[in-house]
Amino acid sequence: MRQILAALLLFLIAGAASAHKPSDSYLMLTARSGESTISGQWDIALRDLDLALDLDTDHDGSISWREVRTRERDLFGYALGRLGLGSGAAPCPTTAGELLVDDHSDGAYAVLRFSAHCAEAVQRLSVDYRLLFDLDASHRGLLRLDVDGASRSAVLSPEQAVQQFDLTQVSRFATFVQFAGDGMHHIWIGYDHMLFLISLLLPAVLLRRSGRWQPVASLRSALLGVLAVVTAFTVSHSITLTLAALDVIGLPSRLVESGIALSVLLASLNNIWPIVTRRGWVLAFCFGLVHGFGFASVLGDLGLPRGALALALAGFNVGVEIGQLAVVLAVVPLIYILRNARFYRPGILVGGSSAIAFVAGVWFVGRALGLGLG
Amino acid sequence: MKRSMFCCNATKGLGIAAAWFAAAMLLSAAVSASPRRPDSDDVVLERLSPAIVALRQLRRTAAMPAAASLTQALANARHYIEIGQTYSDPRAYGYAQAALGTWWTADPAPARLLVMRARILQFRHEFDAALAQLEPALKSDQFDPDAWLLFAGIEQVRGNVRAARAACLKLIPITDPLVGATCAASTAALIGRTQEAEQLLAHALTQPTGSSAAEQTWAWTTLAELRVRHLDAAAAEDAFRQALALTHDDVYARAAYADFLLDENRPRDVCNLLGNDGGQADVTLLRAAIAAQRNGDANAAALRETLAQRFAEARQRGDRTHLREQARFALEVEHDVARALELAQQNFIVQREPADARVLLDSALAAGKPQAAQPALDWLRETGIDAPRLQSLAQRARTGAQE
Repeated sequence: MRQILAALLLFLIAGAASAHKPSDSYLMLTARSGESTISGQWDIALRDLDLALDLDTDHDGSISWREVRTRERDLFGYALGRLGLGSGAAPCPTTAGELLVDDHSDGAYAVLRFSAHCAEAVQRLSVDYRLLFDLDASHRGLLRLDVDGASRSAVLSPEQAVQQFDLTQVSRFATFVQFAGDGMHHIWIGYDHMLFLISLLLPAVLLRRSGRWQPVASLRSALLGVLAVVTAFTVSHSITLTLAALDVIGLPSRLVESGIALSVLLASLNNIWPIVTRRGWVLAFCFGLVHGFGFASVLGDLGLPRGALALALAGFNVGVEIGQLAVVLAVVPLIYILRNARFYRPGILVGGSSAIAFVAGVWFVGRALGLGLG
Repeated sequence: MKRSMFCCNATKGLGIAAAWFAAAMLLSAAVSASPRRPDSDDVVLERLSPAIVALRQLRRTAAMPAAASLTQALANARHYIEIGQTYSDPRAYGYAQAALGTWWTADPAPARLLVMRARILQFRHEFDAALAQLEPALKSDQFDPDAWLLFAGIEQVRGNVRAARAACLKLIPITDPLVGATCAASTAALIGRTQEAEQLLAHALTQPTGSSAAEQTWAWTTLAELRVRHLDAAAAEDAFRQALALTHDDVYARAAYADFLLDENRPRDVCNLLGNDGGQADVTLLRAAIAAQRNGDANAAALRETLAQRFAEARQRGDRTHLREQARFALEVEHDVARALELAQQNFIVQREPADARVLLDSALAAGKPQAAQPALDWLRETGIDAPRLQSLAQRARTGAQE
């Protein structure tokens, strides 16, 4: 066992540089429309840098972090000296940033972070790539250029070492799709939004009459209830999402996060001890305002493109709605079928809501007190 | 030793746990690796393989990048290619091209320069471009055995058996008898004369030869493949062992032997042959991944992930050299028959060897579209190759297509 683990660790830490792949570097440039600074990350194989710079100074057939770290200036000097970025005709000088390491399928790579500073907002970016071509004619630079969240890629070769990219022409549609995807992803991983929605949906197939829950008679009335709840939630979180994204209003994130947990808690408790029964959509509207602030903070973390703010916002919101619709489509048919079952009210409505209330309670305490419990 | 332990014998509780852990770690390392700053100066980031060390030494002695004379530049390029062939390192061919400097595009070019360019282009599977260099070279120098052998190899890979055969016949009087015999035998087998070819080659291998170890390995591997095609398993295995006894790490021989073992339904032996490290050439890594999956080994997922990542990187750079392997990967590891068929069809446009026909037939049958294998069926009919396994697949495709 120990032998296996030892062999394993050796393998994990220092997989032998393998000889199976032509040389590639991975160059990622991130630009935002309306800005003059471009941030870059360049992954270059250590064995390629060793070819050019003799990194293995102690000649022991391996490259240690010391041998890389102590040559930081040389590495940046060598690499950045072979990359020319420009805006129009004016060059954009580069500044070295952090030096890290990473692994790709054929071994360890140095990760060079840098930034390029152009004189004015970049319209037309030129990339002049000269790394390693003099030593290895089959070397390629694999460029990924992200503009306002939309990315495009290009292969830089000795024959096509200089390439131009029109940043204003980066597809608006791609930006929209990119942010829609982010919105969907956020619903998918954001359990709090999902549980809130489920708490509101669970009673939608029931009607409260004289202090007791009755299954609704028709699909139509169930769907009307669902529609009212979902629309109210959508309208209210869109309002706050937009206002917060445009910096019109802002709330501290701790308040927003605890507010979201509280909304889930109250919505689920309302299913166990009903207070608001007829107008579930009112509940959805009021609490939806808090969730909108939550979405806005995610959008803020993603980095909003200044030149395409409305587009990104609309895309993100559409993504959130699609994600929400998916939850509805998954939950509503199921609970509609089960609404007459004897276990629906004790098992699913009360039992399920209790479970949600428990989770939300833990979230609320954790978030309000800053305990880091999620 | 330690590594192959958990590939093949991880059958006990702790071993399995460790192997699962390994697979999970490898998987997560492969998928979600993110830039990091090592904790300590002593962390070893990269161990340089023998290929890299050899290339470094060569670089120190050779005056790179620009050699003073064409003769020196060609000698440097040749050294790089030798290392590339020995260790199956594609970067070496990039170094070779760089070593030629401006001679890479010089025009007019002497024959020896044309042959060197063709060799590098051939490695990148740019067969048409390689032949465009070779043809004028062979016109000006008809007695260059290297050029004829390269020409025969390219035409054989492209499925032009007749042209390959003609080149081998030109080669015989001007090269070592074993090299000539291997060339002739490998093409004879493609026109339905496997038995004669096998006898010729087996006899040539008993004669004293001045050929290199690599050439002898090639001869034994070719003999083994002829015997495989003839379903003479014991004799084939014997020839594979002879080949690997000469050059243990010959990638082509190892891959061919692994294919034989997979066809014999002996995936565990593949594992023993190739080990389980993810740092090997694509062609052998593919066989290791197929074997690990059939064995149900713990590292199957990690090998699969490594290969998938490599193929993704190759696609990113626009590299199409391993379409055959990619098709087999899709078919046998990922079980994505539609994708396998698409890749196998693309591959068969560029490359037409028995293995290319096989993966096209396999994918077409698996996808339930036997008519998609028509190019392979046509090629098999034109060449008249006698390989029972391939012919029975072809038969199934023909009957399937008629139904």
